[in-house]
Order: sequence, then C-alpha cells, then structure tokens
Amino acid sequence: MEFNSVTYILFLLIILVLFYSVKRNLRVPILLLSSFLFYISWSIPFSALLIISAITDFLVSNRIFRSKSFRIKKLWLTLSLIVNLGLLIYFKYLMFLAENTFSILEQLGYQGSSPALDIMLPFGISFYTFETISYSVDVYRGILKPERNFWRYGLFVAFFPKLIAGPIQRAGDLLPQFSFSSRFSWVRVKLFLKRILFGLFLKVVLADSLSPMVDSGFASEFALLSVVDIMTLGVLFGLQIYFDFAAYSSIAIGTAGLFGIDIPENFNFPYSASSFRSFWKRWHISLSSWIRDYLYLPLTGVKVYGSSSKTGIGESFKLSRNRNYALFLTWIIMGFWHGANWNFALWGLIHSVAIYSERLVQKVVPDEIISMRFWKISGWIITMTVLAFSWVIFRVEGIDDMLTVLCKFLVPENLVSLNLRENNYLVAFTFVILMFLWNWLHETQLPFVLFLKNSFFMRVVFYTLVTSLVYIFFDTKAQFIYFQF
Amino acid sequence: MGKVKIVSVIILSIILICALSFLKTIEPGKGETTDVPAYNSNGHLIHMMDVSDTIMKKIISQNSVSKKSTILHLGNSQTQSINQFKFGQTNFISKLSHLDTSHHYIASTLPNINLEEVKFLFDLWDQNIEIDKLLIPVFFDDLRETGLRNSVLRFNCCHDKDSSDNYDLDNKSFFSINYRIGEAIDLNFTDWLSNFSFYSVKSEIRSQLFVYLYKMRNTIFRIKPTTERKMIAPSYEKNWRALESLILDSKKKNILTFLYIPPIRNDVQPPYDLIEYNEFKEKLNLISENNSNVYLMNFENIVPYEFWGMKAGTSLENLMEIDFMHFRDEGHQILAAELNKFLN
Repeated sequence: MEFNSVTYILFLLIILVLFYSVKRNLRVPILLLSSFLFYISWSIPFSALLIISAITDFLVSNRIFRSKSFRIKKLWLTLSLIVNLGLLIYFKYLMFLAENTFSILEQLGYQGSSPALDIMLPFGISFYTFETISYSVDVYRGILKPERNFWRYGLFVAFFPKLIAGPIQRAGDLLPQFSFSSRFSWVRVKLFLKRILFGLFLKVVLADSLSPMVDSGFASEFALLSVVDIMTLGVLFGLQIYFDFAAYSSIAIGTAGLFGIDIPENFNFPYSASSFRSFWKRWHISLSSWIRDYLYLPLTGVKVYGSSSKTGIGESFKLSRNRNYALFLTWIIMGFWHGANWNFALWGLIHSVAIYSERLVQKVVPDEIISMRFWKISGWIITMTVLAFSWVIFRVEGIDDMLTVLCKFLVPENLVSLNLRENNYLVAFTFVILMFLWNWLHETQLPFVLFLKNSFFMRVVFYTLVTSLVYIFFDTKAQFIYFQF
Repeated sequence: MGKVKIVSVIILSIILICALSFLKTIEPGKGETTDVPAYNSNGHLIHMMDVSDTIMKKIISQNSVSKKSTILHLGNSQTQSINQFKFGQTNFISKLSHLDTSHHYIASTLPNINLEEVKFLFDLWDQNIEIDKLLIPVFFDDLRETGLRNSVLRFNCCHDKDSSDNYDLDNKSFFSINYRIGEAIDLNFTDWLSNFSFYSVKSEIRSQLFVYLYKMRNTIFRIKPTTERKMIAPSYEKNWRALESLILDSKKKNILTFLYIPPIRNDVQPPYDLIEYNEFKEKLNLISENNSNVYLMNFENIVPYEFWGMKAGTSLENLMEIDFMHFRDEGHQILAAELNKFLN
C-alpha cells in the first residue's frame, strides 16, 4: 500500500475514525493491528521477519536490563546484534557477498560457479532492524528502560507511517507518546493534513514528473555523455531523490501526527547547505543521527550517554585518535546501508573524503574567513557540485557504468558537449532556480514577502494550486525510491 | 478564519479542476493534418495506428485468408497524416495497395516512432503473420527518441494488463507480475474509479498541462519547427543498434528489408545540422551495402514544396507553422508511385 494511492487514503480514514472512536486503552491494539495489515499488504511472508526482529529485541532488552553482570549484558546485546544484522546480511548482502567471493576465487584460479541465489529484500528491513538495534543498545547503555508491554513495543517497531522507509525512530522518542494523552485537536489535524498534502505534492507532482527524465537519462550509454551531461543527470536525480524521500518523510510525519504522534523532521532544506557537514545535519537526519550514535561515536571511542534523532551526523565532538579512521569506515558502511553494490560504497567514500577535507580546511583557515559570506557561497557551490557527482555514482547501475563515470571525470576529454534532450538541461536549471527562490522565501525577513506569505489571499491561492495539482497528478505511478533500500 | 480558508481552498480547487477539464488544447504537431488509416482495394482495414488489440486481431484475421505475399510497413505519422485533408483522400499505403495488387500490405504506425519501437512492432507482427518484405522509412528526427513508450507496451493482443513493467526487452516477452495484496486492491480500485469522469479526466488535464508547458517553452525560447535540432548521441546509437538487430533478424527469416529516406520539404532549410544529416544518410548507405537483404532509396526530394503545408502552432502565440513532416494528398500519390517502383 503506497502512500500515494487511493487505497492508502481510505485505509488512513478508516483507521482514524476507529482510533478516535475507541477508548484510549484500545488505541495501541488498533494501531498495531492496522500496522500489521499495512505490512501484510506488502508481503505476508516477510511479516514473520518483522515479528522475529521485534520479539528478539523485546526479550533481549528485558534480559539486558535484568542482568547484573556486564558480561552477560554484553552477551545478550551480541545476540540481538547477531539476529538483526544476520537478517540484514542474509536478505540484503548475501548475494553481493557470494558474487564477490566467487569472482575473487575465479581470479585465484577456482573454476566453480557462484550459487544461484534469488533473495528478495523484505520491505523496510533496513529501517526496522536499525530501530530494534538502537532499542537494545539504548537499554544496554542504560539510556532507556525496557518496555514491559509487548503491544506498545510492537507498535514502536511496526508503527505503519514510518515502517517501510523511516524516519528511523528511537524508542525513547516514540514509546512515551503511546499513552495518547493528548486529545483530538482540529488544529493538529489541520497542521498534519497540510504535511500530507505537501508530501503528496512533492511526490506526485515533482518527483514523479522528474522520474521519466532521470530514468531515460541514466539509461543512456555513459561513454557517449560529456561531463556536463553527467552533472546535469546528477542534479536531476538529486532533485528527484530529495522530492521523493522528503515526500515520504512528510507524509509519514503527517500521518503519525494525525494520531497524536510527533515524528522528528527528516529533512531541513539540505540543498542550501554550504558544507557536507551541514548537509548531513539536514539530509535524512534520522539515519545520520543513528549512524552517529550507534556507529561513528563508538568507533571513535566516545562514550554515548544520550540518544537523539533530532540532529544529524555533522555534530562536532571532542577529537579522538580514531576519528578519521572512524569517519571513513562509517561512511562506507553508510553507503552499503543504501544497497549491496560497490557504487554505494564509493558514494560513501566520496562523502567521507569531502567531510575529511572540510576538517583539514577548517584547521588552517581562520574562523573569521569561514564566517564570511564569500566563503559560504563558495562552500555552497563546491558542496553542490560534489554532491551532484556523488548522486550520479549513487544512481548508476553496475560497476561498468560507475567506472565509465569516474573515467569521464579523471580523464576529461568530453567536457561540455550536450548529448541529452534539451529539456533535461532546462528542467535542471529551472528547478535549481526554483529551489533557490523557495529557500529564499523561507528565510527572508523582507516585510513585503512576509506580508504576502501571511496574507489570507495568497495562502488560499497557494493551497488551491497545491491541492488541485495533487488531485490532478495523484497516481501510483512510481514507488518511493527509498523502498529499495 | 481557518475554516474559511479550508472551505475556500476546497471550493476553488474544484472550480480550477473543472475549468482545466474544459480547456481543450490542440495536440502539438497536429492541427492542419488529419490522421487517415489505410484500406486496401477490398475495403479492408490494413493499417494499425498506435496500438490496438482489436485492430491488430482484425488485420491478422484478414491476412490469414490472403494468399498474396505480405509487405509490412512500419512508419510514423507521415504515413497516417494528410496535410490539408479533404474527404475521400487516402494515405500512401492505401494508394500503394491499390497500385500494387500483387502484394498484401499491412501498415503499423506510431507518431515519432523510434527504431527501438520499430523493432518492437516488427517482433510483434512477426509473431502473428508471415512477412515477406519490410518497408521502413528512417527519419532523422525520430532518432532523437528512444525507448518504448508505455502505450506501446500496454498493448493487449494476448496479454492482460501488460506494461513496460513486465516486458523483458532481451527475451522480447512479457512476464507475469505477482501483484502485492495492496497493489492488487489499488489496481482494482483505480480501475473502478476510472469509470467516473471526475477521476478519468485527470490524465487528460495532466497531458494538457504538459502541452501548455511545452508551448510555453517554445514561446520563451523562440523554438519553431525550423529551429535546428541537434542529434542526441546516446539516442542515436541506441536507434542504430535497434536497426541493426532488426536487419539481423529479418536476414535470418529471409525477409527483404526496404529502407528509405523519407521525403522532406526542400523549399526551406531542414531543421537539422546538415553535417549530421549527411552522416546519417551515409550510414544508411553503408548498412544497405553491407547487408544483402537490405535495399535503400532516398526519397527526400520527391515531394515538391507546393504539396506540403502548414500546421497549428506549437507556441502560445498559436501562429501557423511550417509542417516538415506531413504532406498533402498529392505527396502521398507521388510517394506511393515511387514506393511501388522500389518494391517491385
């Protein structure tokens, strides 16, 4: 059941009516049941994995909490990690590992064939396993007391708005909200319906309109494209994935909000970032903060005493010896989280090199210069250029295309010839300008703009256009991109 | 205030959607041309425009009773459209089938058909009829297009609900999709909703909006039919590969392939880079020289300028524009006569 489907809208309406017409103590079972129905609408067999992951961490976390010995706590945590990461490795990485192992063996002279594996990736597994892992780790760290009520815990894992593609939630943020203490409020309903409407606009009007252009562009033979063409494709895909994923997050936040649950923001104008560190405080915040708390900081040797999904990985911490090694390793893992392919690892590596370079520059350039406008603008241009390149690496299919793209940049023979349809350049340029305008409108304090933004007439015109366009374009044309991760 | 705003937004949205659904936009590239399918001398329909299950079945059943050898023509809108159409006029495939009664003609055309689609249609027809000769115009313009549009793949001759999602290009076959429960429910639900005009009108409004954007682009950038269009290298290569694969298949099946460079207006400079256009013609020559089953003719100058026409504008100014693609009935007569000589 896609968020951008009529079935989902109906499903949501029915659940909402049920939710607000029953007593508070029945709300958790209703949401849990509906979340289960939501998941089995994707796949019945894979719902077993969801249950296994949930049960394991429910039991393990209680054991961890009750154990007095640090060693036993650690053993229980290891069990949780084995189960969750085992599921993830089996379903997401086994084929990749097998293929690569056999190709290495072939190079060494082994003459066998790789086993024919056909493993489907269960929906949302990368998201819910991270949530269950963070739950057990938080209990282990003493940040969180384990939940005693299995249904409430089950709802934390399976809560349908964020089940398939996040935002990745922390138990500490979500579980306390399941008491549903707040009353029904029209103000909240209005606010969160706006979020859903805005999310649908991003998905059905913007992302899905860009999708055919991006698909046909990336289906081109890269050897025939110039550097300008490849960067244009990077910009187009960067826009598409942003609109698509921000749309999903916005609809998830809106849907959860209708049930009185606040989910932290996952995006904050990422393309206005003037550095990679700033970008990662604004892009997929729930993942980057997870990676920071459960991977990067432990690798640097920093003790983590808190957990928050509200800030990204770009937060600065005290220097440690392992900092650089942790940075590269974290980003390669972050890359692989997106998919079992070398291009994702390279994408992660590009981001880590960019962040590492920023650290080096920051060491030698005085703070007064860094805070200058000129510096920020230059930073923005460099960040967006590298980002567009990294999106191409992220989107290419197969090592051959990845190497062709790399060669294009390393040995630039064909820099500026235009080999895509003219509309590609035009749309990329128009969207970049519109994004600028949107960011400016968002940040500006000019009285005239503020007056327009707050005027009844302008707001009605704006929402009329958005509503009409959403209705006209509303169609389950394409899946959300992040479903494949 | 809040409630007033919500009600205003809802009412205005309904008004806007209704207003948009009443707007009629002329499809770009059409206007003063009319699509006319081909009929043979027995009055049988021999021409499938776009893709249609019923029409294809009808043509196949008529072909099965014909004892003549079959010539399959795969072309674009030049075949099906007559500029300044007058009642009773017919396209060049109709005329050709009247001139050459020794063959059974079948035409299958799509506007802006690219060679990948030509290959797809060839495979489709080849599975259903015995083809003796193939007649294909190779348009330089159309080599800018690639891929199979969904309307082509949604073709339902023998399959239900097929689309690009379940077409295996390598094996040239459809495979079945196991819809997830949610998808299956949604599919049935939207199918049911499509019975209501408030829902089905959405796709029409969408295409009108895109036509409007297209016209706006043309107006802003002063793009006209005479504006030079450069070759798009990746599309160009894909199209050649599709043609080569088609020729290889036809050779294996002993099908003679007749390629031709189609007529183009010669009273104005064509909207191509002339170096690229000449390279294109040379490449076609090379293909015909290297393949014994391929014949090539150049018909680019056979239709005099007075037999061409104008078409509805493709900008917001809506002024009439030169039509480079579609000629009048006289042009169809000339081309039919030339093709008759070429094929026999």
